[in-house]
Amino acid sequence: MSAPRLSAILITAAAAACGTDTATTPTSPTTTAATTILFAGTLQPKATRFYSYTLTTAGTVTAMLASLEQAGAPKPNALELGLGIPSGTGCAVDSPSSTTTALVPQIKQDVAIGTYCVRISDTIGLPAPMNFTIRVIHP
Amino acid sequence: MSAPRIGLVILLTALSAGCKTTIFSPTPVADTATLLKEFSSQLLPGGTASRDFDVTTAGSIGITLKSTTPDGAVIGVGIGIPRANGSCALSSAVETAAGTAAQITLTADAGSYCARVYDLGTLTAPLPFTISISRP
Repeated sequence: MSAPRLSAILITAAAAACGTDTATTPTSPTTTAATTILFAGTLQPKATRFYSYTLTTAGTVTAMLASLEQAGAPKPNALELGLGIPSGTGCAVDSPSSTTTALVPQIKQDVAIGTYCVRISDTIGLPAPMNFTIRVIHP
Repeated sequence: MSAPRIGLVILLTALSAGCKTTIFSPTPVADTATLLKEFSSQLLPGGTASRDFDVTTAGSIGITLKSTTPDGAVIGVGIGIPRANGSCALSSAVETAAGTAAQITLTADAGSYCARVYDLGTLTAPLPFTISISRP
């Protein structure tokens, strides 16, 4: 085979080897709508309150102490916030966190399907009863 | 090597190089756009006024008491989350007069929030005000 003919064959082969790019449409990830719970109430000095909820889907639960007010004014007092499991007439929390109010999740827990609880406690001693609001987001 | 062969080698090398695929990783585009919501109303003596808003992306929220009439009135300005009863449960608040810079700035997760202004017990007449809310 002559050099020019060989060149033509090789060029064709090389061009074919480049192939054709196929654009693929990315698939949107499947997401599960989160459920938001607002747990609001009044916390007496040295008292504990908790709220139980049931998860039908495993996933991450977050909680934030979103508000602590006395007579309509926000207060900076630290309270103990925790996620746990209902136990007897209470809520058993493994690792409570001392926290003041914030609008970002302060505690997070990966959990399976089941019944859980969020607990707020005053361990220091509030000067007066205060209204609190806790926001819990779960799968 | 003969001239045709040298040409062939150069040509094939060039074609081979042409097959290289460069993969560009997508560069995350920072969404720096800030949505601004502004509302005006009147604050009654002893009263409060609040406005709910949603944040779809975690980020910084700023609340600015932009103006009062008359100027210089000091009132409470706060941010919190809306309760089921329609009230605005405050997380943070300041006592301030109107200004151009945000009097409250804080980081928030995605969710529903509210801004509230309230009388500190000093108003004797309705106070027109304008407040703006910046959010991611």
